[in-house]
Amino acid sequence: MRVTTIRIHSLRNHNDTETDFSPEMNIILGHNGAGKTTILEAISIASLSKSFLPTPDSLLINSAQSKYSVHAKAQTDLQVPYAVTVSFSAGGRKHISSSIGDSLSPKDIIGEMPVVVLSPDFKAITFGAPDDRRRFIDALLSQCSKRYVEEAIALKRIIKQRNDLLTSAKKTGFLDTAMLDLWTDSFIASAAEITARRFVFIEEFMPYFTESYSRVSNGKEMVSLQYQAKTLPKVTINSSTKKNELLHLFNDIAKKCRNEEIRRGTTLFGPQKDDLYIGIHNGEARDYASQGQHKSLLIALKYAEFQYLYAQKQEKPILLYDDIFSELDATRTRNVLQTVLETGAQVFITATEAHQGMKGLTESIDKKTLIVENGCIKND
Amino acid sequence: MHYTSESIETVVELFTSLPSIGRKTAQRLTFYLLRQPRETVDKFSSALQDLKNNVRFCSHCFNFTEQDPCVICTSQKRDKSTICVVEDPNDVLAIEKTGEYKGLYHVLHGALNPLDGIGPNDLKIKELIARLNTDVQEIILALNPNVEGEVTTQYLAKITSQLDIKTTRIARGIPIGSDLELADEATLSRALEGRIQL
Repeated sequence: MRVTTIRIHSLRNHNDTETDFSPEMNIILGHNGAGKTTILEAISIASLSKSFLPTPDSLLINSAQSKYSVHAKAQTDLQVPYAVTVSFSAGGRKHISSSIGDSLSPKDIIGEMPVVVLSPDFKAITFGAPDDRRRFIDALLSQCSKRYVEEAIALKRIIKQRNDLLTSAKKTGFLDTAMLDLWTDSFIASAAEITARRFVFIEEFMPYFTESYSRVSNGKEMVSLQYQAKTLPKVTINSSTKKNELLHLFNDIAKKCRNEEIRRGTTLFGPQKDDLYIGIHNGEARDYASQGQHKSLLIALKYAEFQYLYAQKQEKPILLYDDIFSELDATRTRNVLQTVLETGAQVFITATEAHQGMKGLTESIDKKTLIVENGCIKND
Repeated sequence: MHYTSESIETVVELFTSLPSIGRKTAQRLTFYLLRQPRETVDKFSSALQDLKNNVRFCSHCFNFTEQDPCVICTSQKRDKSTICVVEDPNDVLAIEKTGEYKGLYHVLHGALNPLDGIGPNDLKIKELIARLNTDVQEIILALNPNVEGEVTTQYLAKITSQLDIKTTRIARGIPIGSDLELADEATLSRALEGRIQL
């Protein structure tokens, strides 16, 4: 997939920006706060219907305006054109239309234009909370399977409904047990589905990750991944565990948790409590990895994400590298760029200045440098 | 922006309170009415009065009706052994349009939804169970394909299984007349799960 042009209206400090891109390497330069990352955010909005940063949509709108919009034109690897428009008005809903149709919901466009984003914000994947790692899994699986998006939305909704039942029981002292059983059954069915899919995914993803980590670290270290269903008995499950068995396990745990759930007024088991174990040679990365290893792990995860997504979709994802050179030393930078160039994917890199590591590497390929100043592009 | 006439402002506000009508549309409707002859406006107001005065629930199926029981429940041509359960009167309309269904209906007026405080007693479920006499041989559950509709379907299925009545649900799958390749993957994967033997 390659983005050919983008038009941005009232997104952060970009009032009205329109530009076309190189099909290979795009380098976006500018001072802090000039609006470099906003261009990457616009591509992310066109692809995932939201920014890769946690900023809420209402705060993305330029303060002088009441609505932002992003319109992107792209081309698949087989040269089929694709266009998408996403707009959001303050206090309103998101409007999405694309080559597929009008009045779409986010799940209709997620995965159509696959992207892989590497930003300093994602450091949390290797040393943050379980929540950060679950978000990594969910985001990647969502781009691979619309069914997963649907299941994940349903799971969230069921948890909300079930928690409401439990909290009001706690407040009023009255519990409709038949109703709780019903929502518990529904929750278990959804939880088993999500858990099974995540287990299978991690097993498929692992070889991509070990391969890409040995590239990043020059083959010196071993790494591993393991999906941890925190609320299920440890030894018994792996990716070949049948859904029926998972249903049984969840049913058992539901019975055990029941009284405590009623006492605390919230759901206490399920995939929303799970974690992804990232292991390096001496233990869990979160506790034992050095600063340098954390960086290598993140780069490797993201490179594996690219390869996995490519294999699943048969479409090369677009790579968005936000301000990574401020974080990396010269050797790592060279390494990253080399690997990126070998993939032949379209790449977007933001930086405050042309980086040492870029020299010499990018000469043989088609590249475009965009200079951004105060939310405007000044072409070279 | 406010108008110099309080009457205009009141009507605009009223229109705005309707579903899927924003302030601009409300203003356009108000000014349109203002320019119409008096008879047209009178027709509107008396029609609205009639709506509230004449329309009530059918005491059998709880669809909207002017005569109780409603035309569907009293029709000699309808098959009294089948009841199709839906969430909303609009769903009856949708199924009637197919012209394929000859049984009776039962409107629940919603689905189980703890967040909105809707439990079994807020739906017409007791009334449904009361209808399940020996004449009824099949219950078709046709609720919306979302989390709440699904849970309500399971709830009703549990009750009817105790009563030993054949209970079915409508199939989920690909819309007719569209291309398979255009179907969204989530629907398609469900359609695969629900495949039937030929």
